[in-house]
Parts: sequence; structure tokens; C-alpha cells
Amino acid sequence: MREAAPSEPEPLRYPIPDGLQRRSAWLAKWMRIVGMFQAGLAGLAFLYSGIVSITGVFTLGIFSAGSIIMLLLLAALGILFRQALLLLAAADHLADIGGEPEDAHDHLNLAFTRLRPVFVIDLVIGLLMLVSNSLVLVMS
Amino acid sequence: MTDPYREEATRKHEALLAEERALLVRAGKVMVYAGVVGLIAVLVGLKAASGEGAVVLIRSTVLPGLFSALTLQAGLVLARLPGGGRDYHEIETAVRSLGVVYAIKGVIVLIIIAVYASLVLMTFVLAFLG
Repeated sequence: MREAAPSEPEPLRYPIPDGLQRRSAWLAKWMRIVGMFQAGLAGLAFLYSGIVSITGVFTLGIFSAGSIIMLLLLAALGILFRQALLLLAAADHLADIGGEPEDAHDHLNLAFTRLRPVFVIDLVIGLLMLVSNSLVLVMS
Repeated sequence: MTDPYREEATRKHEALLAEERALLVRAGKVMVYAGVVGLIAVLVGLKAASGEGAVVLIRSTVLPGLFSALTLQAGLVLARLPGGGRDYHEIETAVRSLGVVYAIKGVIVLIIIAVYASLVLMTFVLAFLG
């Protein structure tokens, strides 16, 4: 990739085309629906399992198997909640590409900056799915 | 005195700056990894769920497989941005693939909400009637 030399003037930007603005707005609409649903569901599950985990830690002790499993579940739900918030943030930036033309490039960059950890979490979910499917295949 | 219009005409035009393109390429690479791992998991799951019914097969293999394939497609496009004015076209292609993924997920979410809302409504109506 070619980096601009310090003496070279910064290149001019082509404006973001209408097609990309429309597609981004369309993606943002669906991403917002998925993000809100996931945030609601994961948030409620996180609160519920948080209460159960705290109760479990006090009654069973922090190093018991039940408490450790509950704390791992709590962490997983927290990550899913975080993923939903990142999706919502990315959706906001994607929607703003068309709404604020002077900051469109910044919004495009911010949208993909937020989307990257979303796909890192998807990668982890895929790895867990691979492990569980492999276990099912080996056991059967 | 310099002519700003002449100066502008000689300057290079770009869709994305180098660091912006690098950011999108990094995001694309993560999408590629997520897509590939998802597809491998689905293939393993397909072998494990070979005797299951159609609903289980769709839920556990067809939909995740479709999502992984579209994510992989979007990632491959973003990870190989050509530079210059064509970048926008490639980003649009990636956004379209991601749009299909989230539109399907969104429709599933709306169906789940509609089913639960109708169940709650029916419960209230039945409780009110008798």
C-alpha cells in the first residue's frame, strides 16, 4: 500500500456515491433491529444470570464448579450484550453516511471500526460452534 | 499567487486515504476468518445432524452456512480493496452482502417478536373472555 510522502499534498476525496449511501442506510435499518433485539435479550439474560451468579457465589463459594460455570455464562452474555451495542453504534454511523455528507468518510470509517469487534465475537462463536459440533460428531 | 483551481486539478483524487483503506482491509480480514470458521463449523455440523429433521437442519446448518458464506464474501471484497475510485464500488458490494445477512436476521427477529406478541395478546384475550 502506498503511503503519501510528507511533502505531497493530501489527495482530494471523491464524494461517497448515492448507491453506497442507500445500501448503508438499508444495512443500518436491519442492523438496528437485530442490535436492539439482541441488546434487550442479552441484557435481560445478563441481569438474571448476574443475580443467580451472585447468589451462587455466596452459597456455594467462588471456586465451586457451579459458580465457575455461572460466571462463564455471565461473561458470555456480557460479550453478546457488548456485541449488540457495537452493532447499534455501527448502524448509527452507517445511517449517518447519507445524512451528514461532510463527515461521510469519518462515519464510514467509524462504522467499520465498530463492526470489526462484532466479527471478532462472531469468530469466537464460530470456534465454539466448531468445537461443540466436533464433540457431537465424535460422541455419535 | 497560486491558482487554487489549477492546484486542485493537479492533485490526486482518492476514494479512501491509505490509513482508511488499511482499516477496512483489517475489518475484511476478520470477516474472512469468521466466515471460514463458520463454514467449517457448519460442514462438521452437517455431518453430525445428517439424520435430523428439516427444521433442525435449516436452523443449525442452512442459515449459519448462508450467513458465513455471505460474511466470507463481504470479507474477501474488503480485504482486497483495489484502491482509487473503485474502492466505493467494492465497499458497496460488501455492504450489500452484509445487508442480506442482517435482513434475514432482522426478518427472523420480527417473526419471533410477532409470534410472542400474538401469544401474549391471545393469553390476555382468553383471560378477559373467561
